[in-house]
Amino acid sequence: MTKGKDDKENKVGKVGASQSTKGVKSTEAVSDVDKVKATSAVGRVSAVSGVGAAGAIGKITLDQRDRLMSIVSEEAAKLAAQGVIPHNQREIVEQAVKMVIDASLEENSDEKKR
Amino acid sequence: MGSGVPRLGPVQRQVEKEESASTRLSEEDANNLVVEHHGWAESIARSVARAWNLDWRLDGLDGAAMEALIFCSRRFDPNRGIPFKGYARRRIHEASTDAARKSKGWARAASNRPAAEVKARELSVELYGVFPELRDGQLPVHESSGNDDADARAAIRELLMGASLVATREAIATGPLPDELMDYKRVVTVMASLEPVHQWLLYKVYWDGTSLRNVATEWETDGLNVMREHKVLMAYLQKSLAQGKPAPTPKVRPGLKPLIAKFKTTSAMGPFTDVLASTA
Repeated sequence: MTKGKDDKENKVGKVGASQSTKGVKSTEAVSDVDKVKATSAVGRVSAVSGVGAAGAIGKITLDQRDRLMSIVSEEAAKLAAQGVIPHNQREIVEQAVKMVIDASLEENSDEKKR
Repeated sequence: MGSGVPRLGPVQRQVEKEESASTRLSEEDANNLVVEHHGWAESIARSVARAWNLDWRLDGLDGAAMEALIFCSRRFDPNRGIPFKGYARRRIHEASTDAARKSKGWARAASNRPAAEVKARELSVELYGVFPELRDGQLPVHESSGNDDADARAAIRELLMGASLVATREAIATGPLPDELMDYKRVVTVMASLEPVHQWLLYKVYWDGTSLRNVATEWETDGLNVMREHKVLMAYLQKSLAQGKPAPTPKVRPGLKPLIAKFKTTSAMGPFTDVLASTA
C-alpha cells in the first residue's frame, strides 16, 4: 500500500474559528401612540335610485297595484298581437295573472283598514 | 335489532337533528309575536279575498290566516336568522288560499260568475305552484338587471307565458275545441324542437306544476342554473311563437350538461316530442 498524493488530498485542513456573532440590538421604548381621531359625521345618504314598479328583488306592494295591472294588460296585448298567447286564451290568462298578483300584494302598513 | 328504537332514514335523522337543535320561543314570546303580527296576517287574507272576489271574514280567510300565524309563532326559531315575516308569510298565504278554495263563496262563484273568470281563478291557483315566490309578495325576478321597471315587465311576461302554457296543458287534457287545436299543436311543436333536457324542464314546471327551485333540488343542481335556463327557454318560446316557426334551439348550459346523459337513458326524444309522435 502506498501512501502518496491521494491521502494528502483527503486530509481535512485546519478549521478556522467562527466569526463572533454581533450582539442583539435591544428594543427601543414604544414611542407615543397617536390618539384615534374622531370620525366625522356621515354625509347625506342618497336614496337608492331606480326602485320602480317591482322594488327590491321583485317585492310588490299595494301602492303599485294600478301600475302592475296596467303592465299586465299592456304585455298581454303585446304577446297576443305577436301570436305568443293564443287569442282564445288571452282574457283568461290576463285575468289569472292579475288575480295572482293582486292576491300577492302586501299592504305597506300592518294596521291599515283595521 | 328488536330494541324497539325505530330505524330512521337520512332525511328523518336530519329533521330530528334540526328539531332537537332548534330553539323555540317561550309561550309568552310566541303570543307576543301573534299580537304584534295579527294585523299583518289579516292583510294577507284580505289581499287573497280581494283578488278572488270573496269576503275575507264570511269565507273564513281570517280564521285560516290567524291559525297559520299561531302555528308559525310556535314553530319559529329566532336563532336561524330569518325574520318572522319572512318565515311566516308563505304559510299564512297558503292557508288563506286553501280556505278560499274551500269556501262557499268560491263554490257559489263557479255557478254564477262568467266562465272566463272561473277558469282564470283556477288557473291563478295553479300559478302559485309554478311561481311560489308570489306567496312571499314577490314577482319572479331571479336576478336584478338594475332596472326595476324592466324587471317587473319581464317577470309579468314570464307569468303570462307561464299561465298560457298551463292553460294549454289543461285544454289538451280536457280535449280542445277543433279551432283551438292548431294553436296548441303549434306550442307543442315549438317545445318538441328543444333538447330533451329542456323539454323536461318545461314539462316538470308547466305539466307537473313543480317550481323551478324544486326542479333544481330534484336534479341536484344549483337553483340559478335552472332559473337562467328557464329564462332562456321562455325567450326561445316567445321568439318561436312570434315568428311562427321554431327559432334556433338554445344550447344546454354547462351546469346542466350532466343531465343530458341521464335523459338520454330515460327518454331519447323528450316528452313533447313523444306527444307529437303519438298524435302523428
